[in-house]
Parts: sequence; C-alpha cells; structure tokens
Amino acid sequence: MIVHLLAGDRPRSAALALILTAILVSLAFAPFLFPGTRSLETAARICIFIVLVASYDLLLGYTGIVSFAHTMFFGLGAYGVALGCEHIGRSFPALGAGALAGAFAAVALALVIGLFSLRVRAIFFAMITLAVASAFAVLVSQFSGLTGGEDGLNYSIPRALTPALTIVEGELFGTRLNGKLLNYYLVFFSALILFLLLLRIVNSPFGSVLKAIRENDFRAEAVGYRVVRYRIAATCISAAAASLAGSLFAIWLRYVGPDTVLSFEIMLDILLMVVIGGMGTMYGAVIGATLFVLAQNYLQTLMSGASEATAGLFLLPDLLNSDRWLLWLGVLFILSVYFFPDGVVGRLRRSR
Amino acid sequence: MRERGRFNAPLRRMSQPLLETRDLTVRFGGHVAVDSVSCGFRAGELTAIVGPNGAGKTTYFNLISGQVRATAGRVLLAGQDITRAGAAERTARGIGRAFQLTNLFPDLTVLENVRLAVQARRGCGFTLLRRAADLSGLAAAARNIVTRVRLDRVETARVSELSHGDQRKLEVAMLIALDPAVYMFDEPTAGMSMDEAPRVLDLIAALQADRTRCILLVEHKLDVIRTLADRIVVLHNGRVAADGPPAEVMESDVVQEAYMGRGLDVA
Repeated sequence: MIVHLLAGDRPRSAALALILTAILVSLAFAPFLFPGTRSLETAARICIFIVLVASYDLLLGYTGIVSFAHTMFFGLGAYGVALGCEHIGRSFPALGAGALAGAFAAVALALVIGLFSLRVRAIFFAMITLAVASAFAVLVSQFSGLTGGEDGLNYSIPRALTPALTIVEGELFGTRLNGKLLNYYLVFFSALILFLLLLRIVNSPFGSVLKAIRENDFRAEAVGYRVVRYRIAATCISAAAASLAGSLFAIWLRYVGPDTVLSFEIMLDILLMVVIGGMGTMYGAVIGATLFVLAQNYLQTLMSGASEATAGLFLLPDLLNSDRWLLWLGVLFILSVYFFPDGVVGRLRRSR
Repeated sequence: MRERGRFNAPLRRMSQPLLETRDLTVRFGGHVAVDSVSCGFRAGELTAIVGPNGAGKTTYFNLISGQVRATAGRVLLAGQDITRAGAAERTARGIGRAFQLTNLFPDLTVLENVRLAVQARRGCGFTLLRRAADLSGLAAAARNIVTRVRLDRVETARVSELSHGDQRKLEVAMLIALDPAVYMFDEPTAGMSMDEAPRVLDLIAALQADRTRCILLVEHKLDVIRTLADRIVVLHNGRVAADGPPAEVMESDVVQEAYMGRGLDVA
C-alpha cells in the first residue's frame, strides 16, 4: 500500500526511510507535538516548500532544465487566491477559483516561454526565464491598483480557516481546536497529495523520458522522443505544481506581497534546497526544504543561545551573535555541498 | 497501446525500395561530405556500406536517420518524403539506428535504457500517472530483449559502469527494442574484443534471417561483410564508387584501387 502510494520509488536507504517517516509524522501531528504559533508557521512553510522544491526538482533534477521563473509561478498561484478573495469574497469557491486561475495562468505562461525558448540551448532558456520573472515582479509592483504594489494584499479567507472558528471549546495538547488548525491540515494534506502526485509522475513512463532527456537529449531524440515537447510538458507541470504551492501559501498567510512570494531570494532558496536535499530524487525536496526552513527559522534562536553560553570567551560570542545567522547558513551550505555533492539523499543512498 | 511506425504493407512488396535516397547531398562549408548519393534499400536485404575513413559513411547515416539535414536531395521511406522530418519523427516512422560512438543514457540502468526504447515504440511516453515499472508488457519486453543480448547479468547496473563491449551490446539491444523497419548499424563491433564481437554479429545475422528487415551496416571488417552482406555499397569521397553483390564489388577495379589497394582500414 505504502509502496504503491510512493509509486514504487522506495527510499532505498534505511536511514533515509527513517528520516522521511520522522518528517512525515512531525508534520502530520505538528500542531499537537509542537504547540505554538511559531512552530505551526514553520511546519506549514515546510509543507509548502516541499511541494515548491519538488516541482522545481522535476525541472532541474529530472529534466535538466535550469529555470529562474519558479517564483513567478509560485506568485501566480498566490496572487490568484489573493485576488479571488479580494474580488469574489471570502468563500471556498473564491479560493478554488483563484487557485485554478493562478494555475491556469502559470501553465499558459510556461507554455509560451517553453515554446519560444526550449528549442534553443539551455542557457538561453535560463536567461529568458530570468528576464520574464524579473519583468513579472516589476509589473506586479507597478500595477499597485490591482496587486497592492510593494505593500501587497491583505484579504479575508473563509471564516472556517481562521482562528475565529472554534470547533470544540478547549485545547488538545496545548493547541486550540479552531479554524487555524483546519487551515494547517488543508495545507498539509494538499501538500502531501501534490508531492505524491509529483512522485508518481517522475516514476511514470513520462518521467523516465525526462530522465533520458537529462542524460542524453540527442539520443532521446534518436530513440523517437520529441525532446522539445517533453521539455515543455515538464515545464508546464512544474509550473502548475508551483502555482498550487503558492495558492496554499496565500491561504495560510492571508497576505501576499512581492517580498514573500516573488523575490529572487526565494528563487535562490529553492535552488539551495534542491541541491542540499539531492537533485533528481524527489525525497531530496523533503529533506532540503525541512532542513532549510528549520535553519531559517531557528538558527537565530540557536545562535543567541550559543552566544550567551560562550559569553566571556574570546571572539566566540561575537561570531555566534544571532545577527550573524546568515553567515552560518552560508557556511552550512558550503559544507553540505562539499560533503554531500549529490545531496543528503544521494549520500544516504550511497552509504547503504 | 497502439504501435507506431509499422511498415508491414511495404515489406511485402519486395520489388520497391523501402528506403531510398535521391541525389542526397550535404555540404559543410566548402566540403561536400556526401555528394548526390542515390540508392534504394529493400526490405529483407542487408547492405554493407564500406569505404575509407572520411568517405562519408557516418554522414550518410546521419542524413538518413535525421541527425544532419541535407543540403540537397531527398530521403524517402516507403515512398514518402521524410527529408524535412526530424530525428524523432523518423524513428517513430521506422528508421532505427545504433550509434558508432556509444551513445546511451549513462546514469540509468541497462533495463531502463531498453525500456525507454520499448516505450518509444509503443508511443506511451506521455503516460503520466502510471508506474513505468508496472505497465504490463513494458518491463517484460525490455527484460526479454536484455536476456536476448545476454546482458541480464548486469540488467540493474548503471550504463556508465558497463564495459565497452557491454555498452555496444546495449546499443544493439535498444535498436532491437525499437524494432524498426530499417535497422542501421554503425560499426557495431568497433572496439569489441575478439570473443564479444561474434555475439553481436550473431544478433545481426538473426535479424537478417527472416528476410523481412531492411538492414544497413557500416563495417570495416571484410570477413564480416563477406558472411553477412547481400550487397555492398562503396562510398568514396562522398560518392557511390561501387554498388552490387559482394563477390562482384570486391573484385571490381574501383574497390581494388580506391579501397583495398591502399590497404586502408582493412582489418
């Protein structure tokens, strides 16, 4: 049953299976295991980034396409939901319509970019995605009447997904049973389904053609696959998944803005997460996103603790000052790439 | 699953060539690599294409299988003009090719490589939501072919870990998996050891045995050509220098002079 859900793509490493199970259980019971607003925020962010990173892995790791437009697709889904809630009203149909419209726009845009640029060399595609994504970010901040510009949009989502709704009075393991909890499980299960869907796609005949294209596009063509069509299809699927991740993010945050969904920094984060986790493995997205989001959220806390503990020692308290967290994140990244060139998943599978 | 690229009807009509090139020419800058080559190849016939290095054999192959576009002339398959078609379309229509320099998917397993070819023939590359390993027939057909070329002992190994000889066998296996109407072998035994080469030649002989396939073979080894070929086409400086049954062509002046006389590439 489990193997069937995973599309037969076993973790192929006991340690990896253990880590993945731990992540799954932690996320599934996050509201009760780690009560508190901040930890719930982190858990939801991990769920969403797993989908976003997995959809990017479909492009980079499986098909060998380098794209810098992934945050644009993410943003389209997010703005779709925001505009839906803003203009249709706070209802579930508005969320659905917004998410669908966002996904549709993402696929259409991916199709156009793909048709124009996937025929040419890979580097041109990367450049074009960079240009289109930058143009899109500028447009979003310029059309402030529609998008709220740099300030972004605050909107109301259905009451059932907000803390205003109380399901049962009282608490369970320190967590209030309210709409926020429902919202978290909407994010969790949607992310789980999307991830399993992506896992299924990469293990389908279509997925093996993508891997063949990554390995040797010349030969893939000679075996009879029209490489351009497959590349475009992969780009569109990846864009749709990224946009749905964006929609979940918008539903969770009740806010969208250029900095939270469109910034180039997020694009770099996605790249780092794919590389840290292991390209072309899907499970790498789970590990990469979890590690990275945890580090982003807790490294500062951890460091201020360490800084206090080492107070009085030479230089260490300054180095460990929580303002230096980005430096340490960078160091961690360099170390992980140095020691795990094929990512955590690749390393775990090899050491079997 | 619908099978594509079958040419059963034309196969029956033995008189008409299945594959034909008319005045096929390609220029690279000022150099004419293939110069107005007109040749027809029938189903059931194994044609050896020989010639010294640089004679244009591989370029001629590239023109037929679609890796290089012709400057002038036409390529016809079963009477249809495919000169403008790309490599993928030609393969789908029934022209299969094994490459001279091993050209595989290095990070995938032997079985996956063959399965990709089986899957291409059955046209189910756009099946998204079913497991490739589950699709009945796909895996079985792939395993069958892997066993046929005796690669089953390494079927789960990555291609990059295989010996050169095994990689060459895999090239042949993928071509068999495509089961095209036209088989093109570009020096299938190049770089193989003395005990490995016969295995590959046996496979080709087996393909030839039922006399339904059109097989083109670029080969340097004369003993191989003598035993396998129904016909020999000699290319020299991009032109057809001789064309006919082996006994006749081997004895002809042009071959004695241009090819054998100089002792070029004669193994």
